[in-house]
Amino acid sequence: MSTFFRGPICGTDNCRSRLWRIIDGRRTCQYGHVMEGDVEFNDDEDVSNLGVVTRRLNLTTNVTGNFRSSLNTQSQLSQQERVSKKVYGRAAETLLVKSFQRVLEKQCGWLVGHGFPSVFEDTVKWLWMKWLRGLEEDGAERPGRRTLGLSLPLSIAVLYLATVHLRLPVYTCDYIRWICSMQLPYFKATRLLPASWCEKLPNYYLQLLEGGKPPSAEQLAHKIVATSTRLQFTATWAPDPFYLRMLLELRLPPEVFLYAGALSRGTNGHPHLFAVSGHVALFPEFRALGCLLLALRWCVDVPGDAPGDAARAPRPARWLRQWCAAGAAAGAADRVTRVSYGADLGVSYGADLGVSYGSDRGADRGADLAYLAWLESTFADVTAQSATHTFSIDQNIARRQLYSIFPSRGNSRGVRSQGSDSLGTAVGAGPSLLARARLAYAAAEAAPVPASHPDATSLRAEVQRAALQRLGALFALEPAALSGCIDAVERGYRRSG
Amino acid sequence: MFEVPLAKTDKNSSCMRKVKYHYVDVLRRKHAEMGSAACGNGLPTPECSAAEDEDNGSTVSGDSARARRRKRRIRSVLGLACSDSDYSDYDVDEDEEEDQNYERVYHSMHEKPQETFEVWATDKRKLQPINKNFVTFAECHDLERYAQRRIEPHLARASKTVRCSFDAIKSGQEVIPVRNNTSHHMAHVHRLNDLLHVAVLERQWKFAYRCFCVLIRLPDIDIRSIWGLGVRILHEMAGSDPQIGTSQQFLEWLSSVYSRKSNYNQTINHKLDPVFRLGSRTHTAKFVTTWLWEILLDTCPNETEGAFIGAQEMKANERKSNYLIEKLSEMVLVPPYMDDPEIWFIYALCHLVQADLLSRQFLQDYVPTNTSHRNIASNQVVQHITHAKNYLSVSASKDKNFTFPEKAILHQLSVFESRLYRSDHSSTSTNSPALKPDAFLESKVLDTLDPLDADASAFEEEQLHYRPFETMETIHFGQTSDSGDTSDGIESF
Repeated sequence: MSTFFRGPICGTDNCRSRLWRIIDGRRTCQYGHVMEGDVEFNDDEDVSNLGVVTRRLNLTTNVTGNFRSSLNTQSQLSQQERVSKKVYGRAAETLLVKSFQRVLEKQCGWLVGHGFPSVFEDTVKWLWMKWLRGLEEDGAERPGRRTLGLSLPLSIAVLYLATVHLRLPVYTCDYIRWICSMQLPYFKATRLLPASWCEKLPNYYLQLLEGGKPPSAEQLAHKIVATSTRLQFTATWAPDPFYLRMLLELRLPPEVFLYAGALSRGTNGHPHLFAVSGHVALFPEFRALGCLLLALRWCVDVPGDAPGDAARAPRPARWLRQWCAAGAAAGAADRVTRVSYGADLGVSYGADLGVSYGSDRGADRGADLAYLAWLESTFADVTAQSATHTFSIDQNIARRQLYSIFPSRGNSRGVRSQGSDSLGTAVGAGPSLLARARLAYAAAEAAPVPASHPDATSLRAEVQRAALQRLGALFALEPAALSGCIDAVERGYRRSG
Repeated sequence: MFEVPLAKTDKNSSCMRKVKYHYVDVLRRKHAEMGSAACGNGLPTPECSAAEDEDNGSTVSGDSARARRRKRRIRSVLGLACSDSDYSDYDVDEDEEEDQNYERVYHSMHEKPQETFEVWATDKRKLQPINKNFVTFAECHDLERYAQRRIEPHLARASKTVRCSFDAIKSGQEVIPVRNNTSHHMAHVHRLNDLLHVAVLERQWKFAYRCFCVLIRLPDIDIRSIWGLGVRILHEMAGSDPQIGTSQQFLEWLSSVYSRKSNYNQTINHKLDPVFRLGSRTHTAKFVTTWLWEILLDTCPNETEGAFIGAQEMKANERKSNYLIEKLSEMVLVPPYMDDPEIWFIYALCHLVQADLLSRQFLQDYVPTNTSHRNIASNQVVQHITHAKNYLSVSASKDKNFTFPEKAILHQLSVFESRLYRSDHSSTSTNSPALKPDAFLESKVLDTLDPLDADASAFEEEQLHYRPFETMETIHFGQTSDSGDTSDGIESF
């Protein structure tokens, strides 16, 4: 007979006892009910006279209140881990291609669900088939050394080429924004795959589908150029919608559109092709960006009646002065993108990135709240989806208890719809972009002209700085890379005469 | 900006640490062997230099040279190839201690931060001379070259990053740690962590609560590193939303989920924040003690001055107190808690509170006039008082450094006991709290009490040394001694 110890509720005939003791090797409750199927035995066969040595399992109760021995769970865990279903070699490659295809399909589904035409899916499929065919031919040529070259930026490149083929006004900046705000399936893409595939895929392929760092526009440009070369993609890119889009997005004076258009027609030597561009600055979008920045610089120099007087200065210059004075409107989407690129672009953004203290905190609060709402709704959801299956039942119960102590309202629908509304751009929110632009232009007209009278040189420098900062934030480009774009356009213009 | 509650495991950094401490160890040993060092078993620090000065190093070099000569001779006798270089001798030594943990060796020679935490040695008598031993440049050069040669095989296997940063550190440079937040996920985790800390600093509790909720739902976040913030936030959010749990629930969750059964390696892990982060077989987790203090605080009646409590409230408090006593009686049987004086102290205070609650019945005439019932009730009180005294003495015996105002508590207990006999003497003023306790102490010899020298000066002297009781200037009759003060103790965690 032993002393009482705590255990699960007995439950026989509604017995409420939690105290147990061992009588003749049977676990018996306080009121004498014997637990079924539980016998303690002494497994030492030769009990010597020197003293009885008994072994007792180290019994504890788990979260649900049942008995468990620490030894037992450990051995079970190790047994579970030992069974690995990973596949390698050819089978793994096939599975990776299948998984990649699934991710691409999900991405298409999201885009079509958010305003892309339904033919977009067929276009992507056509491009992907071409890519696969290229892979097969490659394998036939060099049977031993074939690399798949699959990565998540490749999926974005395929999507981008499809949008170019369909002439949709969607650019790398849109893709970057959708990726960073985790709307377009990109980060933690493994959560989209069936669990059985995830078990089979080797770890290095799983890591490939995790996403990791967000791609910068430069990286995407490289990938797009490489992919279009491989696919022998010949559609040309039209710069004019791009200028219009940037004009409305950044609320630039309308003259910029005309100048930029003239500039890109001036450098007509190179049509806007993807496959031929060698240098990053020759990527069509970046070339257009260079033209845009150059046109901005020209806008300052438009001659007016009386250069010294701010009120009677030419309209574009006046506009630009206002434009520099007004801070960039930072929504939740901007903030998300900036934080995502915090490690890369932290230097160029300076104080804007760091969490600020003190008195200027009030203005920041709204943006922080929007950012937190995004974290609650999207980020936490996505990360939770990708990580649940690794917990044991005990851990899951503990986790649920913790969450009930700290209830979060992140899962409410209201927050999410509001978030996606503020993040939506271009395709899905065409009219809203126009409406917003109209409002912004009206506000710009009404705003007073700053009292200071900077001369043309300092204004030019200021415009340049503001433009680099805002475009850099939009495209996730370093200011140096943008300056490189301007230089490339200037050089090309001079060469063509 | 703020430390992220993540458990980091990095192959490069662990390799780097291993090589670094190995290098330090080789340097130290060679330095000691050269005889120029005064320290036999430690790097020259002010702490150990004085102690080591006594057995001066002049003989050390002679001894070691003799030992080396003897060793070489034995080897030549045994027929082993004898080389002239000294290094071959050390290589033999090296093989014996190959699988030693150099980090542990290094840290065992130095004081640990948690032991020196806010201890200021200002006593002039304990001043020690600074270690003035120095090595010449040539010797230093030799030392370094030797240590470098010894470390070479280990470096050969290390990655290029480790090799570069090791070279840099060796030549006195500092390596900027690689920022780990380059991935999309980590960038947002860092940002969220910053927002949480800033919100707590600015006392924006709602915002901080939302940040905390998101953070604990992310994978790989170690909640034990930020439980203090969580408790504070829950304190502040109490009452604002019925769905949000209380801090007691949270602390109970922590105490039940995180096991005390892990082993904790004090010599290596002291760079983390173990004292507040986790418990082990030898160390009570801070969240457990916080939890116990919070329950205890909750059991204490809100009134401090008057002796009147409603019967309902008294019953509720009694139930909570019983729960806590039951909990503690189980806890003090198992390792980390059975040796922790603080747990025993809380246990004693529990009984004190219980004795207070029960003895109040005598003041308020809740006790039936029936003599046998009355005896049972008073026996209960006496029993609790005895328990409290026993556990106080256990607590005092566990650790000499653990101090508490024993006399004040004992005095308080005697006050509780005097309540039992009060109605015998002054049945006219049962409800008046303004009663002189000393009158009873003198007039009646109590069951559990030795005659007490309850002079006020002794109390005050004790109170100077023990902070939680600082605010209590004089001991009022009927006041629970730990009602207002323990909150200070909790807040200071």
